[in-house]
Formats: sequence, structure tokens, C-alpha cells
Amino acid sequence: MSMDKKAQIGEGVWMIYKLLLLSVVAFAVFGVSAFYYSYQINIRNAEAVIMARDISGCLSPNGVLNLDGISKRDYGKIISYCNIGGSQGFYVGVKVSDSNGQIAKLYQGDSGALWVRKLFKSVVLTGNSILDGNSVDIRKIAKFAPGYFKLDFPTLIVYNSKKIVGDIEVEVFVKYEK
Amino acid sequence: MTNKRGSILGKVLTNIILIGIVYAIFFIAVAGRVNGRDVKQQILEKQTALLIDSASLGMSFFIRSANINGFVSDVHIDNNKIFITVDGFVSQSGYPYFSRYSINVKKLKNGFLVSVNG
Repeated sequence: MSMDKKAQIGEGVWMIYKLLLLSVVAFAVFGVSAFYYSYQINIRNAEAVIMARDISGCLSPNGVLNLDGISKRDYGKIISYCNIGGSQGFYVGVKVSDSNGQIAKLYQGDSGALWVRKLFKSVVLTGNSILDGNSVDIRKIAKFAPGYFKLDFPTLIVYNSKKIVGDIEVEVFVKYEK
Repeated sequence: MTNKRGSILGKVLTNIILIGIVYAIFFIAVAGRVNGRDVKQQILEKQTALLIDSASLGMSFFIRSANINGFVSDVHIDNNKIFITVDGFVSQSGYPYFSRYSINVKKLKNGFLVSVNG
């Protein structure tokens, strides 16, 4: 009787082992198929265009940018100043300049991420990876490419109570986030 | 002797049923991938997110349940993300949108109405 019991326990353990092995193989095959068939649609460039349009419409409605009406504290929180919610992963940089050069920089987000764009841009142009010697198929990393858009337009600027003709450059960067 | 045959049959049947369950789960998951349900869901979520991003105050748009990308059974918004369930494929992470307005989703008879309010 005790031998039967031991055999039954052994049988049960053996069955659990077989099921675990089967599950591991099934998940491995599923993982490979998921990787092969997966496809990421990239709309980050479109998002960058829309954000640039929203920011420029907020700052310069009717073609006039009232810099005097924007508090210096808001210079680093320009997306929040325009009441745009849900903008994590965005960097927006606005350069306001006149004929003498830049007079104000408005921004929000991680500007350090701009180097990621330079990285991808250099890979696309050269066709090679940045790693020494080895050429990597850029399609493998293209899906991680950030979205980017730059908008440049002339505008009337109200600054220090004076109206001056100047330029606004709006730069938007959208990080890859899964 | 009868007991031995009966017990072996029972064990084999249990084995077959358990293995069958694992295979069924595996094939259902792979079929979902191969049929591109996740791609169709991506298309719907990202199209809707772009519409919300570019919408002005007072705009609304209607997502039909009987959609070209599959049957849409659920559309909801949570924490500035849009989640759309297509052909039973539930969205795990959604897709983020940005807007200066408040977005509402209302379930109607034949679909979902997404409206942009102040």
C-alpha cells in the first residue's frame, strides 16, 4: 500500500514536470511569434506637428506674441502655461528672437533628449550604427525613433512695452514610450 | 487487474485534458497575434488619440461598433490615455493623448461618442 502511494506521488510529480516543460515550450513559441508578427505604428511625428501648432496658436494668437504677459516663472513651463494636459514624453522649446538675436527662451520637458534625435538622424544619414566597425540594420532601431517637428514663423512681439517684429521658432520632440 | 487498467486510463485522460488546455490557450494567443488584432487595435487607438490631440472645443466624433478594423466593444479614457477593445482584444496600456480640454466618452446604441468639452 505504501509503495502504491509513493508511486502515485511520483506519478503526480512527473505529470507536473511534463506540464511545466510543455508550458515553457508553448510560451517560447508564442514569444517568437509575438516578436515576428508584432508591428508598431509610429505617429510621433504627427503628434509633434499637432503640439507645435497648439503651442504657436497659444503663444501667438492672431500673429502677436505678448511676452510681457508671460511671467518669467512660466518660461520653463510653457506647455502647462498653455493648459495642455497629458504631455508627458514631450519636449517643447520656443525661441523668440528679434533682429538682434534671441530675446527669450520658453520651454518645458527634458531638453537633453534632443541628442537622441541627433543620434537617430546620424544613423539614418550614414546607414551605419554609431558603434565602431559594425553596421547595424537601422530598421531594427527605427521603431524607437522619436517624433520631431520644427516650426519657424515671423510674428509681432510685445516686449518691454514695445512692439517689435521678430521670429518664433517652435521645436517639439516626442520621446518613444512603449 | 481491473483497478490497474482503470487507474492508468484515469491518469492518461487527466494528462490529455491538461495538455489540451495548455495547447488551447497557446493556440488562441497565437491566433490573436497572427490575425493582427493588436495591429487593428493600435490603428484605432492611435487614430482616436490623434483626433483628440487636434480637436477644438465643442468637437465630437463617433466610433462605430461595427468598425472596419473589427468590432469595437469598449472605448474609455483613463489618466489621459485612450483604451479601445477590438474583437475582444482588451487594451492593456492604451495610448496617451494630449489636450487642453476635457474629453468624455459616451456609449450609444451603435458605437461610442467622444466629445471635447471645456
